[in-house]
Amino acid sequence: MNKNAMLSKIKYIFLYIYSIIIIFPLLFILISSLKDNEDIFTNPWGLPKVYHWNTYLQLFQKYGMGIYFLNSLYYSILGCIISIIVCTAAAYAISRLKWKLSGITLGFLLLGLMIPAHSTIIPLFFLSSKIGLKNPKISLILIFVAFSIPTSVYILASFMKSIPREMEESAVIDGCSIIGAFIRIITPLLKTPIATVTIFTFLGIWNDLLFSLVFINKESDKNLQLGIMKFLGSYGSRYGILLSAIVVSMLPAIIVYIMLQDKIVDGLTAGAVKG
Amino acid sequence: MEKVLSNKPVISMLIFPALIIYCLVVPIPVIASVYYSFTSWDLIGEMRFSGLQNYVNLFLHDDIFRLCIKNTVVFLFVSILLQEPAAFIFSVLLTKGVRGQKFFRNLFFMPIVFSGVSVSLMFYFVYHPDAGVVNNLIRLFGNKEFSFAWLGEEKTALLSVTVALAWQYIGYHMTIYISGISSIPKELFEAARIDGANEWMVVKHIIFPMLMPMIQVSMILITTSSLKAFDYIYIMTYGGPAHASEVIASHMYSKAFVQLKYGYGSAISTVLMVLCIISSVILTKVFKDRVYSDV
Repeated sequence: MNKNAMLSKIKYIFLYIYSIIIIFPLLFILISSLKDNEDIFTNPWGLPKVYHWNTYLQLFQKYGMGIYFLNSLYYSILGCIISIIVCTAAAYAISRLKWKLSGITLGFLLLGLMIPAHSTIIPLFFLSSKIGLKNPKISLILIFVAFSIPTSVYILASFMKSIPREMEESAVIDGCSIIGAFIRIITPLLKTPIATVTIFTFLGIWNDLLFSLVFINKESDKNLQLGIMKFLGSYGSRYGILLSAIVVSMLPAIIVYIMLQDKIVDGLTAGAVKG
Repeated sequence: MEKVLSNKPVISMLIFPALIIYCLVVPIPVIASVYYSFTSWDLIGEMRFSGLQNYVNLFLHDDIFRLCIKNTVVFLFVSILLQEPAAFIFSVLLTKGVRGQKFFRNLFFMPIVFSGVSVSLMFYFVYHPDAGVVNNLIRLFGNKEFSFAWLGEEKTALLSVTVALAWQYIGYHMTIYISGISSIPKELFEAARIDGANEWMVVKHIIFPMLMPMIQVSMILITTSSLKAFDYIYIMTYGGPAHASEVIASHMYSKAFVQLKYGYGSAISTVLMVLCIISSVILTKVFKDRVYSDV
């Protein structure tokens, strides 16, 4: 009995220590972001002597943080919408319509899971300008959509397979077209898998660095990731700005995570395990 | 009904948008990239077919590339060592109904929603020689004058990056394991308890073998993502100091997009792709044998 009590104590010590490891760096940069340089160097453990809230204001007023945010939202939301539309349609054709090549097509799409983005980026860089997509925003969104297709189609198609066939049959017999049956009968049943692929796709686009780095060169097109990176280089000597930029980039993620944690946990693990 | 379901124009209309976008962005560029890798092509020169020249240079004359391969392998193995055991232990601890189980699970998972860029920048500061968390902790408990540039020294740069990565990913692998453990039939645990098995035996004879498919998923994820690792290196060390933390992906980026040697960069990315495919295939094979012999 005593040994068991010991064991369970050790268990909790482990869990608490790791919790501190997760929280501590976040808290440290949050507090340091409100200090000035001198305070950061001489008073690492204390609260700020003077709270410099204005660095946060400057981020938005002077350093264009708002634009980066809007751009990230633009890429992510538009990418998600396009991805969901094309993937739901493709998954429907693959899982519920009858044609010879449906299995092969799914296999062909799933091959994409093995391909690292790096092996496509050099040709894409040239292709996008050659076929007249001068607007890097559109090329970028199409690229993000394409890389979401394998996982999303797979998740949606496996979910659709479990819906009973009679659902469309009765609708078609009542005079509905097959597209009509798809839109009116099947899509309303897809809330769960669509939530999953939305979370997966949204975070994938929001957090991308490699493609953004190569495709975006105009300041006004920059997303959040490229935006906060610049504080490392040219403003490196003013740590308050760098740190508050990190906080601003993480805060929305934390807030959304707290609101939707179960959905996000499910979505990201389903995306990995099934994909 | 059959006829309605095999209506060719409808099928094409539904499948083609996804198929076309996918083909334009994944298979066609992959083929193009393999083709480029057999050419000498940079910003100034014309694209000329040069056979295996890039690969010969890569494997025989590029010392940095050899260093990259070594670093990538080290990165991979250290990542596995740091992440997998911790993820497994936490998943076992957090499926037994401890107090605050849900809180711990969600907290450990949280770092995965941050971008690689945010986490890298945060750890850039955590490792800062003067103001960083690590050195300040050491100063607090020991040497008051301690100052060490974790990301700036050849010996520690790469390892420091893997620690940052572990901070972000342990909870993710833990969650994959938790979903595996919760799908193990409850009767197995009950039968084991009736037979008088202790906790260690349950872990060894039930959880571990039943978890093999999830361990496979997690190992494939960790392997391919380590081979592709870019964000963390690019931001925290930029491959430095003196290429001590250069990995395949960062080398490819600097050859292709900094030095503008597109043919050479394509050769590196082709090697990277082949490594990703081979390792996924090998891991799938290894686990296939294990899954059937153990369960």
